[in-house]
Amino acid sequence: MPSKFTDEYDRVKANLAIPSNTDKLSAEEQKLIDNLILLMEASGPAPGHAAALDTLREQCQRGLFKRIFGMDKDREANGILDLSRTDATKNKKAAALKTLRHLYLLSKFGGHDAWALSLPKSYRNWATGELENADADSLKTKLKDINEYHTKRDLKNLQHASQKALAWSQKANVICDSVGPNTIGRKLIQRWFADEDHQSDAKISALAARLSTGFQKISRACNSGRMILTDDPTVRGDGNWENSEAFAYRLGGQRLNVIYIEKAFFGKGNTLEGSKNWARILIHELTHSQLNTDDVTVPGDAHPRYSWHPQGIKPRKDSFHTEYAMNNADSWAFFAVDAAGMLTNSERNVALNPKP
Amino acid sequence: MIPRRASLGTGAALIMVTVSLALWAGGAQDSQNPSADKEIDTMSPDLPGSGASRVPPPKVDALERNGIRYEPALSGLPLDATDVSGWMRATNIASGEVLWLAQVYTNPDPVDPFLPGGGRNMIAMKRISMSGNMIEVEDIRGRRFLVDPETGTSTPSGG
Repeated sequence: MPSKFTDEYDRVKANLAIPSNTDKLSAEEQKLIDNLILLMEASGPAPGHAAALDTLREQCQRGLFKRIFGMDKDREANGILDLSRTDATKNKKAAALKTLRHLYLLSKFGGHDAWALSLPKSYRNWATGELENADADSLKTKLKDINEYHTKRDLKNLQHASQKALAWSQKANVICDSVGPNTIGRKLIQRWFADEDHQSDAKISALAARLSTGFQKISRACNSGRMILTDDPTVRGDGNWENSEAFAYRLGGQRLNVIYIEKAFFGKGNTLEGSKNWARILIHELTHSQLNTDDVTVPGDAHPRYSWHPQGIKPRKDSFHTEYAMNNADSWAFFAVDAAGMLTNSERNVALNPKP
Repeated sequence: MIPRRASLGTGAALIMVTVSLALWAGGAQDSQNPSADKEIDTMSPDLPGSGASRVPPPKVDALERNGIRYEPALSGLPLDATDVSGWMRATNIASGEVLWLAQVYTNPDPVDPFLPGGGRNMIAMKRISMSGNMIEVEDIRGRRFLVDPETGTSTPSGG
């Protein structure tokens, strides 16, 4: 069963503030801790304080010459332990710092602000749980581990995906503003949401208003500077979760705006592939967390209405009516990709229609 | 004094519970925009739950034998089925008549309330083949089952 990052975030925030009770921190070290505490705002990490994360990483990486020649092999761990000078609570504070050592502001790679957390691959828990009962040797080993779950290339791709998700959501919102006869907005709403009973001007306009409000919320969440992308280390090895592309808690499920990026995210096999699919996934997940959508399973079906569903996701009065489509995350996501002009005819047909 | 204090305490507790519930409900609607569209916010009443994006399961070739097609059943399942794993259908190819619809294996995992789709993922089929006079079905977890082609009743076959 997954474990929410929001809970870990609150633990990290609390443990970061544990004062040193063995040996006073230097003014420079205390300043770093203070800046990290400022970073940890209740609504998520504040981009304005992201520089503290780089300082923390420098603390763990300094002395390159010594490290290369094996004279300071434990620098990565010592960088954190130097800042964790407490007695009984040392592991907790070290875990808080270890989490932040792997937190990145993605706008470093260009574009708008979003966050990515990439804990070491070997972890099977959030850092607080992973380090909680570790003895001194094991603690050092775990702190030294910087082989991250998401590579730097993954992080760059996530940044681009997040940028696209924002642009496409904004475009979808604009398109919903104009749904008169022969407009692209009307055509797209008919294509992805309007069944045979929802073809009138009044009904199309009502759907357009709901979609517009929804895409505004998605754009805001994506552009808030507080969206966090991470995998959930507690489900590593659990095929039910880890083999998904991504998942998110539905509206009200957790305080922070977190999307859990899982193993299949960068894989193949879905209707779309590559950066187009990554942006589609982020919009899909944002509709869960911001609009409370579902992956709608029509009674009698084995699969939810993903684009690859044998019957497709074209709205049909008798089998996948308008309210199902309006509640279905992939319908929203494909609408946005289509609104951005990014779907090929073939991809659109696969998503909408029954498969041979 | 004591009864009065108790009554004040009860009143305070009631107020706190009411305020907490109101705050929770407000937060559940939209923490960023309290005036957001109500229709959007109430799309699905089940909280907290989750949603996931998933890739399709492997495509499974149907097995045709003696004029009958055996294949995974992906639609037309019983409407009250709480576990959608392992459903299979046998159809007379010539007439189109469905001979049986049966669940040849189940999902053994406990219900996970956070999983979409009723708390259980569908465990997809990986292969349908003949094994002597029986049909052998393998799921994506590597479990194998022998299925009676006449009735759809199944037994685990190891593996």
